[in-house]
Amino acid sequence: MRWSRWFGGAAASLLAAGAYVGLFASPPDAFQGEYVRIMYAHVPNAWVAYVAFATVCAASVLYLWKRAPAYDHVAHSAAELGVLFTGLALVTGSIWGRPVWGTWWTWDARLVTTAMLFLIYVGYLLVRGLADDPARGARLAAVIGIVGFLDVPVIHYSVVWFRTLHQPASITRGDIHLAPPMLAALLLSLAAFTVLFVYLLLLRVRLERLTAQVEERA
Amino acid sequence: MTPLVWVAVAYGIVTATLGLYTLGLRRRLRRSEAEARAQAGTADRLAQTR
Repeated sequence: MRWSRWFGGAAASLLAAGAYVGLFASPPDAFQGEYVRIMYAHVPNAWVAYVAFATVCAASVLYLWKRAPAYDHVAHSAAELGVLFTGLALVTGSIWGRPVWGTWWTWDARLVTTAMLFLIYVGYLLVRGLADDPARGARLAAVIGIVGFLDVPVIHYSVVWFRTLHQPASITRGDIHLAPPMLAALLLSLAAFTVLFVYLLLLRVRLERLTAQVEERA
Repeated sequence: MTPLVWVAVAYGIVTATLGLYTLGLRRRLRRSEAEARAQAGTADRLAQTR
């Protein structure tokens, strides 16, 4: 609980600093103008979604291997958070796309594979919720959690493999296509959302553990 | 709509969604902790009466 409080405080401070830098201290983009500020909310949501689904994948592998409920609690919690952050990435991307691309949605490889990721993990949560036998539901969900993660590299490389409207990555290995003040705003937002994810994951796993404990005793 | 309105809408949606989710999660956690404590208390009382 002490750790979660520490992460909660750090997340709140970093989010406030990130919002200030992203909204006021960083300059407008030469092409996008003020709309670039939406990127400081959109990119971290997408990043945290990747981290969340990587956590689901790793915890699911460990659950299928060791069969310890603790791993299943982590996978379930991270999947719920991943769906939340993917949903926010899709919504903020759409809000940015309307004024910049002139459309809320287009059947672009990056957008479609991200929507697929969202639906895969909504399916993961439904499988868990609808299973008659929780242990069987957890095993089936673990398989979906592992297979679903294969979509993450496809999303990441979709801008390289396909002809897409979505811009390529601004930060690649050894190459940064961002002005320093914009890079600072983006990195601060990425750090803030990552710490927020850790905080929410700690709370959600604790809830999952308590719920299992209460159900076991009842 | 002006650029600032689009930016405000995007940040507003993110802040409201994450804020409501966090508050809801903390509330669910408090309830669950209370339920677990109550259950443990009942089990202790039952053990004492036996």
